Amino acid sequence: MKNIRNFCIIAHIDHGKSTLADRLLEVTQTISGRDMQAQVLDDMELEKERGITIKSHAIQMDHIQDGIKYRLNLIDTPGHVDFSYEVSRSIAACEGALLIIDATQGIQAQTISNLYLAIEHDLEIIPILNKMDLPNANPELVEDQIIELIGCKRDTIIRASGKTGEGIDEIISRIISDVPSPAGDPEAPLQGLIFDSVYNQFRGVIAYVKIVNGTVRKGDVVKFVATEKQYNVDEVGVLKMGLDSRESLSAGDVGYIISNIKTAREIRVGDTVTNVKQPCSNVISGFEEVKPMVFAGVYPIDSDDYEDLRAAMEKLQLNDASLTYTLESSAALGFGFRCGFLGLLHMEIIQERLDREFDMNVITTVPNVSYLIHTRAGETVEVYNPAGMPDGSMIDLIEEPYIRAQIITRSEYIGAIMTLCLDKRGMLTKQDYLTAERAELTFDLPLGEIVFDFYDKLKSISKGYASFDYHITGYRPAKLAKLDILLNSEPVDALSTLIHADNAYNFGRRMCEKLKELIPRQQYDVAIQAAIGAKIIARETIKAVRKDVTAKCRKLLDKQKKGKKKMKQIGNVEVPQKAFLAVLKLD
Amino acid sequence: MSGIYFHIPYCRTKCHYCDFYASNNIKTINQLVNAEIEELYLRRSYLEDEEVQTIYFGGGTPSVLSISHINDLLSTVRKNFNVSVDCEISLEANPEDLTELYLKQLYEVGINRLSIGIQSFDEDILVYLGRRHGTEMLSNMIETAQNIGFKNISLDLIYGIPGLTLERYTESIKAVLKLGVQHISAYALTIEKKTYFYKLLITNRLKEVADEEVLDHFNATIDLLALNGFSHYEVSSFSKPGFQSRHNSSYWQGKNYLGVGPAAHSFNGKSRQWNISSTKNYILNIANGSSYFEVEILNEIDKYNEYVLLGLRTANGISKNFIVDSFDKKIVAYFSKEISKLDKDEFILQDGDQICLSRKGILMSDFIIRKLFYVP
Repeated sequence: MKNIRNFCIIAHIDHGKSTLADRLLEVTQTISGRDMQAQVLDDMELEKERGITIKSHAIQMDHIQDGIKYRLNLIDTPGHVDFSYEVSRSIAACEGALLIIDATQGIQAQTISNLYLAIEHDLEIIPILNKMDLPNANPELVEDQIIELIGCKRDTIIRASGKTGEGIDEIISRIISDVPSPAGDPEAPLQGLIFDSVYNQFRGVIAYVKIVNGTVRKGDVVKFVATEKQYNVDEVGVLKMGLDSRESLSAGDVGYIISNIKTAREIRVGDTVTNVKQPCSNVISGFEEVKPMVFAGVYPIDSDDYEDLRAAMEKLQLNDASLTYTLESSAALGFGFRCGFLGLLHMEIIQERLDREFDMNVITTVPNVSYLIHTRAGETVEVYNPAGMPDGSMIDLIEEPYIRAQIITRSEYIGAIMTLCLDKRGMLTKQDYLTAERAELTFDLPLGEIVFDFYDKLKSISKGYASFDYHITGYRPAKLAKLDILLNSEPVDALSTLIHADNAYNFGRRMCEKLKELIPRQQYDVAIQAAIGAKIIARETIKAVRKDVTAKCRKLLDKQKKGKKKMKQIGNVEVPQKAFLAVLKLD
Repeated sequence: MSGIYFHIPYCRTKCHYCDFYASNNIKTINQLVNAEIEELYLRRSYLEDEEVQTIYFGGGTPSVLSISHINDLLSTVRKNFNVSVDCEISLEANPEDLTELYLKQLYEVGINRLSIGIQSFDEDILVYLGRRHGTEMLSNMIETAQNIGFKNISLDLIYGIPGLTLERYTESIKAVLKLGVQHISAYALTIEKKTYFYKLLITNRLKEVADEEVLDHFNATIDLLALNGFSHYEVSSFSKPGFQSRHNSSYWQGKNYLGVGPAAHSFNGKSRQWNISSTKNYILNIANGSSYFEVEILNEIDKYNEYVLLGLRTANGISKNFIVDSFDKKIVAYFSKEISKLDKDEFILQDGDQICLSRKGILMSDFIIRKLFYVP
């Protein structure tokens, strides 16, 4: 056990985590350069395209130094705010962390919050400046930031490049010398931390585990504490480029357990696994039930495809337990599902997976958060969609979820970011200068304001130089209104939104304008109205078209097919798919 | 019966209304013609020895081809395909390319139909459209062509142009009619992205013509041409009896055709295929023997959609019985439902088995076809 090193990597998206990890695998001959598929740790196609690791993975490397064989377990962490709980569980499985900072860009918000998590878990931090090969690398300045942040000595910061291989050997020897070996008693009752799981269509759910105490063997009967389910262990092993089975896993080991678990929902990240015959006396702390925070309706474009969509959702949930869905019906869109997501990125990923893996063409309605409604009768109900909102006369108080957001930016953008956050009903709670040019702003913001277009706006006003991280802090009272949209006097439920009452007028007017842009002219006039209750607050008219003809036949067939695919018939109005997300595109 | 289409993706200048990407360097024209000759060899079995009744040079501007280019392409066709003796051989041309010498040579190598992009017969409008010819030059050129022996000439006209009043537009049609041509194609101006006009439009230097005005122009075109013996046989095509474009008609009738050149499109009853659209890559891929096209096998739904799209654009329209006999119940039910709605809105005319667009429907043809399209 004294030769085991368990470590993770903390890095911002695009700071070169995957490339650097690849170099480690190469140098330790875990994989040969020739077989190397660039960035092997990200194995979902989607992940590769987005350049971010969506779900964590782990890999074991063997390395001999001074005649001693070390076992290095790299536990990969997802790099996005939506998955911060998963990151915390990966961190909890480690004794050390590589802090990778892009030498051209400096520290970002997300890195800081994950770094704090690592420090909280007493991880040994090894700071690394990556991308040193780039001409615009600014090592001195970024080193200043790192020293300021973790109080290390300048000469302990490794300068590296995943591209050229600079510093890789030093990283490995520092992992061996600096990261403590895991503590724990192999003879004690089994106590394992589930830090991730993947679904395999042949073997069921594979649980990734760090054995904190005790030993688990093939044939043992184990129990997962939070779900209270028991399973026979079919196989245990370590994670190399694939699964590599072993007789047992003992305290300090990182590996996997296969025990005939059929769906991802039967297992919880952060849960403790123990032996049924000889259970551990306490569970590993930090476990939480992950709750979806963003909700949206997902409907098939063609109502006939509802059953196919249901089958696709079931399959998605097999390997993504954080996705929730319940049946929902819309007068405009027919049958579909109200889905719960961890965040906006998670929502986008699900939408893309539906398209790519299941060839499902769907309409996603405006996302919203969940609200707590306190009725005059003294009940509290949780509402996930605008249609579920009780009548105004029954409501005593509405509460909405709030987040604490950390934004790190160059100081020249502070003004614009403040304006944006205040506009989104944010409250500045803290402002720190990391260096003369970089500031960290902390805001309390309603989550409901973030799910619309906050990200894109933040990126554009800061020219990409602001990074953002958040966590949920709780619920606060809110003044909400339900805004309805009517097309030719028919309310379109799928276009309804819950919005802060003070913004409703302005919002309704802009919705009408945007829809006028997005809905093509038809053979009749189309009236677009925004209403709160029975009161119409805005109106636009799309004039009827009297000419819709392409002169030449060339390419017309394709154009027509594509055009039609994206349209949904609502009453006598053809509404394009993208109009349902109009609200996300308001300027 | 089948046809062959050559795509010639070059223009000397870009017209203000045209979104055709004409920046291909004309210096590569020899390479292109060689590549097209090579493609003809590669695909000599595509039409399965069916008789070739039409050959069409389209573009771009095919009149940038030299006579020897055209001759090389045509003789390769004659050597490798079964070309009918009365084959219609058309060439799209820009008026300024049609010198007396060039016209004579075209006639000699076998071109027997000219489709000339005059666009207007109004001096001011020609300048406005960015064209480089005047009306007097047009009259002289057409007379020359007729004297050389061309008996089948088509002219392209554009209406719905900002600043073109109905009165001036009808004047210019009347002038065109005096030229004694056999075929006229008339298109409403659409302002496409990536054009000079689009730039004017978004900078508020040009105002789009209201639909009502465009409709007036369109109706005037139909009435005036009908009065002068032209029949309106397709959305934008008018001809004297016997002078319908045989090449285009074969597209509409679902006949087989072979498309040669970048972005050209082929059809053999079972599948459609498109050549890659980049001229550079087309030349390159033909030269090094790599793939230069994509194929799509047509399923029943595609066939239905094509039948509706191609048929409804012609005066003959579509046949209800054919649809009932040929396609799945689900498609037929959808078709009947949509037809009855369109009938109520007076977009179509029904005469026994035949369904065709009403005059009101012709200018809404894209909309109507979209309604009838079956997309599962």
